Order: sequence, then structure tokens, then C-alpha cells
Amino acid sequence: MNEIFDKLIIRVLIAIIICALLYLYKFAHLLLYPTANKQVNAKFFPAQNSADSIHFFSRIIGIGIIFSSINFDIGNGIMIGIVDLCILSAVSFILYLASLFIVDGIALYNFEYEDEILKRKNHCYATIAASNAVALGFIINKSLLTSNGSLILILFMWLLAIALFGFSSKLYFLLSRFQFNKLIIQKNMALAFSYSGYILGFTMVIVSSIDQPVRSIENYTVNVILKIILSLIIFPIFRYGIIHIFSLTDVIGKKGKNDTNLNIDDPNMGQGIFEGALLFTSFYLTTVITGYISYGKIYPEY
Amino acid sequence: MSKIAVYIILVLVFLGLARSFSTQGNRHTYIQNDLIFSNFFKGENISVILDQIYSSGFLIKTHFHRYKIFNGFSSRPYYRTFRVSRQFQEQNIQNIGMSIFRRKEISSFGNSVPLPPGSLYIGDLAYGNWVNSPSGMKKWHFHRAYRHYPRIFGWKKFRPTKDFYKKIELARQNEVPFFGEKGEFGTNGTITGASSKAKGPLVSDLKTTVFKPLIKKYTLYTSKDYRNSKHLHFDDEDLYEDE
Repeated sequence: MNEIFDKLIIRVLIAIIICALLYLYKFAHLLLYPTANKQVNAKFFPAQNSADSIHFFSRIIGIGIIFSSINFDIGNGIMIGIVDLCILSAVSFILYLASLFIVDGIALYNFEYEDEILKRKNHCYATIAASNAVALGFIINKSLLTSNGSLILILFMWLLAIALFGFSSKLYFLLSRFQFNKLIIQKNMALAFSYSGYILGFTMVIVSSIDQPVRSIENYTVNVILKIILSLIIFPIFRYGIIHIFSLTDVIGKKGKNDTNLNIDDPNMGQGIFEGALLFTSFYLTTVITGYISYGKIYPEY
Repeated sequence: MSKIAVYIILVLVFLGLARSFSTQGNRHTYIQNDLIFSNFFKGENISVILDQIYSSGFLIKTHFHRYKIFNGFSSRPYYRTFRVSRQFQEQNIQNIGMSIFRRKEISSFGNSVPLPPGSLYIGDLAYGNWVNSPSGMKKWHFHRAYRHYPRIFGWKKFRPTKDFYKKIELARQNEVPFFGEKGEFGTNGTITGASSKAKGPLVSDLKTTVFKPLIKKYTLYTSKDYRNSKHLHFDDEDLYEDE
């Protein structure tokens, strides 16, 4: 019985420590966003600006996803475990915030947070930023898990993953018919759904690609890139397969016609959901092909 | 059209990169036919026995030979696996357990007629001698220092007679495979065939569906890692253990 109570106390203590670390995470924003001092210290009213709420809580969800990968090993003493937790958390915060800063600069370089969120209350922008934040959370989560606590490997994997994520942001323009910048200005939610589905799907591909053992950094890099290329090869099979199997028809009435030259000026929510869901499902099924086939004795190790 | 071109380029880039960095493809030397045995297997008193034949892959097959290479001066053979051509595979389908290459002297090219294993050392008085058996026939008997040779060659209780040896020599001169007077050697041989089948296949045939492990997996009521705590590691955690 003593042991049960003791372990319960340790769990509560670690939960409190995590809350303290989240408090530090809040102030870590000031490293990259020094002008956000007033916002960081002020009270937050979620009901006041729902766009800001989406933007704000996505970052909390992201850090929560990152924390889900951290293992607490207190077998060598509780202080060692706490120190280890603090170091990994600090590294995670810095990498996560740096990632958000970089990705916002790549995908949303034409827009400013103050203009879009605080002044215009642009839900489209907020949703896109939120999906980026959640996606980056998954990527850093997998980097922490795969690196097994090694700070050098975390840094290397993070760099590789961010490069791939930046590449994926640019690939969206090839796969979607929506005019990205124009629709954000118009606050069109169809774009938000489309981009969210796409970025979360491609993130699954990146996560699946970096989830492999690191025997040497060169081999690992090549294997990751090979998996990404393989995903891009397999992806159209699922995309066009789903369109034809379920007879998905766009607004023009031509089944399966997904001509990227035919840009849609004012898409409705349904088109956005169609594109987002299709891209997400296709990428997710692609990860099954690239990641989860066990060849067993068909290709034995001799 | 440009999308198709991009897709084709992507496929080619992937195949090129995968081939360049693949460890699997570069692991095994390729043998097209027996003409290059002489270059691969150097030294004298060397005998190469075809130990196993197998193929891997689903639609595009890759064929392999595993050879047991024995040198008369060493006490133990060693194994090597080679990737072979389909034609060479089919050519040697009946030769499992047979010696498919042997070289007596270092200066000679060697001989690649399929013969019973150990035929290089039969009749060589440096390795053994002919002994009269109770049946009246002369049988080959290895010297004490080489008494383990029959085990290496997989002879079991078989011992070649003088007639057997003469037939081996005849086959070698005529370049005709010899599987034994009563078909003792080769893939379906009474001696070597049984031992090669006992090893079992190294790769599974997709046509052979193994239901038993599948049914066992579906009917398990515990998972492998049920005792592992995902995040918090205590020593011997068991909440229900009595004090």
C-alpha cells in the first residue's frame, strides 16, 4: 500500500513539474516574438476572438503532442529524472518555436499575425497556422522518440524534418486548385480545410519516413529521402483510386477531373473538405505502403 | 503530359538512388555460369559443393546459390552465397549436394562437371587408401587425420568402391554429370537429397500459406507488451502485489 501511495505522489509531482515547464514554454515565446510581451503576460479570453483561440490553442496542443513522447525514467533517482525531463523539454520548446517561426515564414510569409488574427479575425489564417502547429508537434514528437534522447540526433532530425516540411508547403500549390494567398485574404474556409488535410497528411508521411533506426547519419538521410520519393510515387495511386472508387465529382460535373490549371476563384466549404479529406486519406494510406509492409522471408537476410 | 513526365522522372530517381545506396544488391557476387568458377575459387585441392538453391522476391525473382567450399588443407569448410542467373539456376536444379567445381593443382583450370562430393579426394593416396571390405570389394577409407571428411561431404555411411571411383573418372573425362551408381547424390539422391530437404526452405513460397500462426495470432488474449509501462518506469511495477 505504501508503494501505491508513493508512486501516486511521484506521478502528481511530475504532473506539477510538467505544468511548470508549460509555464516556461509560455515565456519562451518571448525569445522569438519579443513584441508579444504584452500578450504573453495578459489574460487570455477565448470567447473574445475565436481566431486567436484557434491559433493559441493549436500551440498548446502541439506542445502536448511533443510531451507525449517524453519518457520519465526515475530508476536512477528522481532528481536525475527531473533534470533529464527539463533538458529535453527545453530543447523541445526551442525547436518547436523555431519550427513555427520558420514555417510561418515559408507558408504564410505574406501575412502578419497582428493583421490577420487580432485585427481581421481571419479564421482561415488561424486554421492554417493551427494545422502547421499541430503538424510540427507530430514531427518533433517523432524526432524525440527516434533519437532516443540524443541531442545531436534530435537536432539533425529536426533540421531534416523542417527541410522536408518546407518542401511540403511548396508542394501544396501543385496539388491544389485553390489560390492560396487570395483565399486567405478572402477568409475562405475551404482553403483552410484543404490545406489542413494536406499538411496533416504529408506530416504523416514525414513522420513515417523519419521513424527508422539511425545506424549512420548518411544512410539515414538517404533512407528518409528515398521513403519520401517512394511516398510521392505511391500517393497518386491512392488519390486517383479514391476518386474513381467513390465516383467523386467536383463542381464542374466532370468525374475525377482534378486539373490544377483550372483554379477555383471562390470555392465553397464542400470543395475544401473534398480536397482536404482526399489529400489526407491518400497520404495516410501511402504511409501504409511505405512504412508497414513486413517482407519476412520473401527477402531474407542471408 | 508534364505530370506524367514528372512522375516518370520521380520513379527513375527513386530506382537510381535506391540501387546506388542499397546494401542488399551489392552484398552478393553475381555468377552467370560455371566458367568463372576458376577465378573465384583459388587454391589447390579445393572442392565446391552446391549446398542450397533458393530464390527470393515476389514477381521479379532473384536466384541464389549457397556453396560449401572445402579446401583439403583446412579442417572445416566455409559457406558463401552467390547471386546466379536464372539459366544457371535451372541448369543446377538437380545438383544440390554435388561437387560442381574442383581443382587439384593450383596451375590447373579446374573441372566443373557435377560429381559426387569429395570425388576430388577419392583415389588420392595422400588422403586415404583402398581397404578390402567384407563383401570383397575395395572401399575407400580416409586416413585418420581426414576421418571427418565423410561427414563434411554428407556421405553418412556411404563409402565409394573402386568401381564407383572408375565411373567418376569416366564421367569426368566425358564431362557428363554422375549422380552415383544408384542415384545416391544430387537433389533427389538417396543420401544427399534427404539432408538437403531436412534443412528446409530458406525463403517462404507465397503459395504456401501457413494458417497456424495466423489463427494463433487472432486467438491471443494477451499482447506482447502488456507489462510495459509506456511512460513512467518503475522497477517491477505491480499495483496489485501484496506486501
